[in-house]
Amino acid sequence: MSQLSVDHLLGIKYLNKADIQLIFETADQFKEVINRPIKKVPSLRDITIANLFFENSTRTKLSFELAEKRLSADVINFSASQSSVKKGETLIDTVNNILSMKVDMVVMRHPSPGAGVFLSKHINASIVNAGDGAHEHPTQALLDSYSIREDLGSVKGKNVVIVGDILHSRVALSNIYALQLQGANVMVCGPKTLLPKYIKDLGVKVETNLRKALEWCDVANMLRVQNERMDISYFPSTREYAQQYGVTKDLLNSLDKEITIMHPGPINRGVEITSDVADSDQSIILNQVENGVAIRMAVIYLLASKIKQ
Amino acid sequence: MSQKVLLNSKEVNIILHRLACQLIENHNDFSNTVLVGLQPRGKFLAARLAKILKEDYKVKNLKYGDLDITFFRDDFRRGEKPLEANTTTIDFIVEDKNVVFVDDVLYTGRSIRAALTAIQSFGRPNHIELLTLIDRRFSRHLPIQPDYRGRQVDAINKEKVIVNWSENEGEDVVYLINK
Amino acid sequence: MIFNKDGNITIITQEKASVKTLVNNIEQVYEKYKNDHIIVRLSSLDTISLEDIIEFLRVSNTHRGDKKSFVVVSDKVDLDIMPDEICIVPTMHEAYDIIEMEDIERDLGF
Repeated sequence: MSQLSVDHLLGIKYLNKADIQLIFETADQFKEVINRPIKKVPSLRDITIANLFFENSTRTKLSFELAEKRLSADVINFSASQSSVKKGETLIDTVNNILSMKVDMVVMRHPSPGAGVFLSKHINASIVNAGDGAHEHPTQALLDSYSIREDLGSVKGKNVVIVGDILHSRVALSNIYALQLQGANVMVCGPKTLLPKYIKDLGVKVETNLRKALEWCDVANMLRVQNERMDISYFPSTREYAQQYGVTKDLLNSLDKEITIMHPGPINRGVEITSDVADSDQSIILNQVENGVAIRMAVIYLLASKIKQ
Repeated sequence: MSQKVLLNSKEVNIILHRLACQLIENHNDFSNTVLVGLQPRGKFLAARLAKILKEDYKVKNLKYGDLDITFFRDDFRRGEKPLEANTTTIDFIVEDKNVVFVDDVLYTGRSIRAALTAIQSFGRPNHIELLTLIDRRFSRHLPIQPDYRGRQVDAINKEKVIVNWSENEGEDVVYLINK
Repeated sequence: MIFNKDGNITIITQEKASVKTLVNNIEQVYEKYKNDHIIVRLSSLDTISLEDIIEFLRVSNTHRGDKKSFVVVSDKVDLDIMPDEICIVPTMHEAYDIIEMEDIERDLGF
């Protein structure tokens, strides 16, 4: 199958296994491209892409921008205005502005779950969800699985634990969907207050003890402690979090096998993982960043190829 | 659908040897030359030529690779068929080198145009030549001609030239197929 | 006040009464409309104060707590000083968009 089954990338929940395979194979080719002396391909030179970031993000935005430019697309950037970013109001205003500029694709990050779904119903462009509230962050999950595939050969049958603030994390949810689609065994690990009530319905294992989780897994995906998304009532202090759920080199060395460490970034060094873990051979964090550009190039290329001339 | 044999196995092999000799005449010991097979099908011809050059004509240290041109095509979003990319393996520098593009059938020339742009991602070649097994003489859309040609064929639009290799389909043969 | 129904949305338009009276009246007939999404159109010609808007908080919180949308429409409001809990937009079009967005959120389980 050489085409995606969807016209937008709104969430992993709308993709099938063949879609993921196609994205990975295309990303393989783009990974080679971004390692050439000249890292550009001209394919999207007649495509205009708008990046709408209603929430702050440096890394994801940069990664998308880089991917778009490597594909030779024209890129325009909108950031949220500082005053009264009320649900719906700013989004519709911005949409109307865009419509008059003949944009082919929109990459959007917005605080409302389903904002991408809403947008796809109102504008005639391909939508890529770069994170919608606590809902999904599909390209992150894709690059995470792609990185596991690169490191361990495949995702199927692997034991993957996601550690941290599962309750507020769109990275966790998208990863759970993606990993299950590819046949991995998934576990979530974190303080009880940060595990959503419905988590068992998703068919994942639940563990509150970090050591047990690490002994079970092949890969540990360490989520960022998100200060902006939670208030103090969820967890006593960052220090206590680090003591119970932070991964240190000693902890890693005490396990009876070498596990792979991942992190979507940016890392709170000393909280989720220590610097020596982040910089160790077991960490594939830098690969995740490089793979992020290749995966985003693949997604944008595949979606663009469905936009007829 | 009718099928006619343009070149049988013996003829293909004679031509391959002739092309190899022509290459040696112009490129000597290949110390400054690289062969680049155009994916997906030029790859097999390039591999065959490299084998002949190395084994039969004792060319040492021959550099060759495969170039995929999918992302440089001019028909992105314009065709009915979705485009699937193949692998590019160029693990040498082309800066100041003589490049020989190798493809099995030269038809409209658009693949070659894409290859000319694509190769620039790897440096600035000194010189670029084109080697093709079959040249569909009057079918060009662009001003592009081969430097080395196996056999010239006058085929019309409805006809297709198919090149089979013993490694893949069990025999070396070139067919002209009427669709 | 005037009541209009549009599908599963009830639109309440303020006429001459003050905001406080309007809220009282809405709360009295609330049972009748509690299964619809509610849009309240304010008709004042002067700027509407924060105190007036706060009058809506109770019925808005109750209604939204029941997984329904409650939107106030007015372009005479200083949006920067409005509390986050109350949904206020300047036009009817945006009110409909809010209801659609909140429906999508509810579909996704939020």
